[in-house]
Amino acid sequence: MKRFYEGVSVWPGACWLLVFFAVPLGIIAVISFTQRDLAGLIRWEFTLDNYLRLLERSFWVGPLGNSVALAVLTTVICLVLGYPLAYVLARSPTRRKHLLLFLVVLPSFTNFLVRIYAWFILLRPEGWLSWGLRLLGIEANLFGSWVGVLIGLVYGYLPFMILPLYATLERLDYALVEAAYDLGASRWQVFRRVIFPLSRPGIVAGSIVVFLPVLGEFLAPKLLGGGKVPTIGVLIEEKFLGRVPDWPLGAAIALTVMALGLLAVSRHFHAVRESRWVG
Amino acid sequence: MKRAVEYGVTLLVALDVCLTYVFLYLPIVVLIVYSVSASRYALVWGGFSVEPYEKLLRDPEALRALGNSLIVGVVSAGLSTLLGTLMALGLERGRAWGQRAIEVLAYLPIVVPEIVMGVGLLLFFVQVWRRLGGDVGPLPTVIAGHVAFSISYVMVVVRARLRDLDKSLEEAALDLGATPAQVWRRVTIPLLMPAIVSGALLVFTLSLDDFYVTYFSTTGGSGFKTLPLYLYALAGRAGVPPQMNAVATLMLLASLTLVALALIVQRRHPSPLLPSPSEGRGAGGEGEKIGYRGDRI
Amino acid sequence: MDEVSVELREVTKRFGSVAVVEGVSLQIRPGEFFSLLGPSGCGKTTTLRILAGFVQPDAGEVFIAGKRVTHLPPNERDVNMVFQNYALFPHLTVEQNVAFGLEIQKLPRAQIRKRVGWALELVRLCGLESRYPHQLSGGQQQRVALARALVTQPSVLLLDEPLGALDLKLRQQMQLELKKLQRELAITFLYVTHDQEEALTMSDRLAVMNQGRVVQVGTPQEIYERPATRFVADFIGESNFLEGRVVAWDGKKALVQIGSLSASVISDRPLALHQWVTVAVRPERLRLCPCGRSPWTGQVEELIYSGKETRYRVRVSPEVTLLVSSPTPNGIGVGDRVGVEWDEHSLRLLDHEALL
Repeated sequence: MKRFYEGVSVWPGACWLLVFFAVPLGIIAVISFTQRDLAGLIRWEFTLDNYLRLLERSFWVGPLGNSVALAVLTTVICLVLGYPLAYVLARSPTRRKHLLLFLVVLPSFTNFLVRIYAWFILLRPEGWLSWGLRLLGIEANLFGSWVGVLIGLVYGYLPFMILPLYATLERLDYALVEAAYDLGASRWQVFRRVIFPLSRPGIVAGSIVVFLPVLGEFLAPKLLGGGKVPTIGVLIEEKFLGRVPDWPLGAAIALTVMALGLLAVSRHFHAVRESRWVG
Repeated sequence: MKRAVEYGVTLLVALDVCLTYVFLYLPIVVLIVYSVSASRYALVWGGFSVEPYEKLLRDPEALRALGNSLIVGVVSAGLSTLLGTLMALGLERGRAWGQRAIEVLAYLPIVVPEIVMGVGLLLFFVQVWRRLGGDVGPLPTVIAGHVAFSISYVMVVVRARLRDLDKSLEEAALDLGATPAQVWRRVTIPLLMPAIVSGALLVFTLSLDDFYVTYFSTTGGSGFKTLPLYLYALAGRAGVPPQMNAVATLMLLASLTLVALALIVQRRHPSPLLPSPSEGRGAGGEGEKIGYRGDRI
Repeated sequence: MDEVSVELREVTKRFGSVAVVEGVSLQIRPGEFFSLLGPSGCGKTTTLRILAGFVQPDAGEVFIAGKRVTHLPPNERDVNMVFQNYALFPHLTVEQNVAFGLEIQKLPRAQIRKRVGWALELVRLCGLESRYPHQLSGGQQQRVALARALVTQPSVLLLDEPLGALDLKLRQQMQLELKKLQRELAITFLYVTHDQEEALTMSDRLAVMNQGRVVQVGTPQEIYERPATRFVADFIGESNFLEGRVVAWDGKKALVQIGSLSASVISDRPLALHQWVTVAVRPERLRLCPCGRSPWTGQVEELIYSGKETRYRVRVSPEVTLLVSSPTPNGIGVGDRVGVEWDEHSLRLLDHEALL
């Protein structure tokens, strides 16, 4: 059998990935060390300037800070909102489980842009949310604000947190919980000492699936932030496709995002893979 | 006192569950409602009307975007399913030279932020491709990018299913006289089919949905648009045109159909992509029926 | 010299530094029901898989019907296997499952249908052709697996603990059916099991394996009545083991001193005076008798009732207790003083060795 497969079939896919994925990443790295020419494109002189500019405070505090803060907050909020739901789902009787799961999964398979756009409608001054808030006496325009972007992000990524959490919680052997009760633990103790630790792989997986993409997000901040919420993603887009392009700088920023993301996740990369069968 | 706290927590949890479902679906409902409003602006309610849809169908740009989305989707799903399945088979069953490295390479696209991939492709096509062989046009460019990120998803899905496959089935086929090629054709591939179909549907959806990779690799300003790009362009215009709601709703309905399809496939043949509820503790549900051995006398 | 259906010569297989199968040599006659018996991990399943062709031995040769097949892939050997978990193709019906091997051989449609019908009738599963494996009970699935392996009429059938998942009654029924089937078809059966009762019931001959080696080969009677080593005596059935020294030997009988008691054992093996030996005797070969009739007398320490028989643990001396099995109830209880007696032939002499 081994003779037949011998791994030969890997190569077509691997080559495609090499050419259209690995090489582009390599090019980003290379270009991040070049200089900007008059049109904002590349002048083939190598320099560390771009990275030095990233160390400037305006980058740190501004886009980078926004991105990281948004990513962290989104992850945390999704976790807090999603965990109880995932738990309830996991413990539901089989019949209802199918339906409830379907309902949770459904929005995540609809177009992300469409969902962000829906909040675009809701958050605008003429939209429902402002109308609702006005009823409560709060005069606030959430559109073009940090909070608005956050709402949109949480909305977009919540299902991605719920799914891995559900997958892990669903595999939990309830006999362990019963054993803990049998030994005298209270409900809180059972949660803290049995359920929560055992759901850790799911938490890690869900957090990764939310944190990393949000770091590079540009749709939500651009559409819902109305230009007032600069993030790394928005910045990258400006540098490549905006009015005043600066490709080398853009490349440097992109590489930094990727490195940051991979770093934050590297320790847990194995956990993502293992979590699939440890559950 | 403890009882009160416990009840409080249970109430909070119940509240969280209900509110979350409302939260998830409210914007979608709003979208659908507004798509049938007669008004010059997408955000104002002006009475029931199908005008937005009419405007949409009369817009040639919209129809072209739809066509592009479909072509890109079908082609990239087909290619990436083929390549991804081959990769899964090779990685799981073979001992390829450089296997570790290829495994890392295959899992990377799932972890790398889409925007980085998009930028990379942009640079690649402008700096390298054009210099080597001239312009290929946006369609192959976009397809190449879509296949690149899709291969990994197919590979993950198929590989997981392959791992769960009972090896003794392939041994039994060999034992009964089948050559390795016959084993593949008569046993392995048929048993993998649900995962392969699942994977294909998944990447088709991902392709239809994709914004970043498409946007950047077509340098955002060119004439080539897929549906998400078309939607984005509309949103950018001052005075938001009502077609937007119509487009958004249609895309929603299309996704709905695809998801329903995927879940039907999954129900009949459980796939490891979507967690399927297990019947009985930790034993796994219908998926375990492969090589099922029971005592149902 | 009898024809040999299957032969293994000095077959050895190592995984890492552990020898899972070591120096295994067996000769199996055509039409024989041959069992490989041993505890988990003794190498019996690996030996079977080497025969089937799924494992390549590190040393030794494998012959099937005189042909050397050691390095032949499994699909080229005239051997079929019934897998422990049945390995029925879940995407094919019962009929398609059974027909699989025949389709590979490219037999004409009509002939395939006829043979499948024959095989299903053999295992008494007619009428279930269009069902899928998951719609069948465990016992039915097992029979489909059997039919599938038999329909191509191989010269040897390998069975890897096929009855393990069935409950007792069904298992006993299947044992008889399998034996009958084998006699009807006159195919060589190679049967792997850890259940000694199963092996003793069904086999023409069996091999006892432990830690990768074949410890003894023989008919069920030979293995049971004349175990070669302490391991075999202990693994098959139950035995009392008594350590003692030879105090006299006349070429036919030996007198062994066991603590303060002595016993006379028939043995034609050369023995030396003062040699340490192990005397083995099965509980069912011992009888309880009134005190005084036998020098082996003592108090009943424990009584184990199991329906078919009752076992008594009798302390006959400070160092020695004997387990005695009696099929009939005889009113003896814990604390009673009884004697133990036996026939001369019931005792067996084994080399004094550490338990292999």
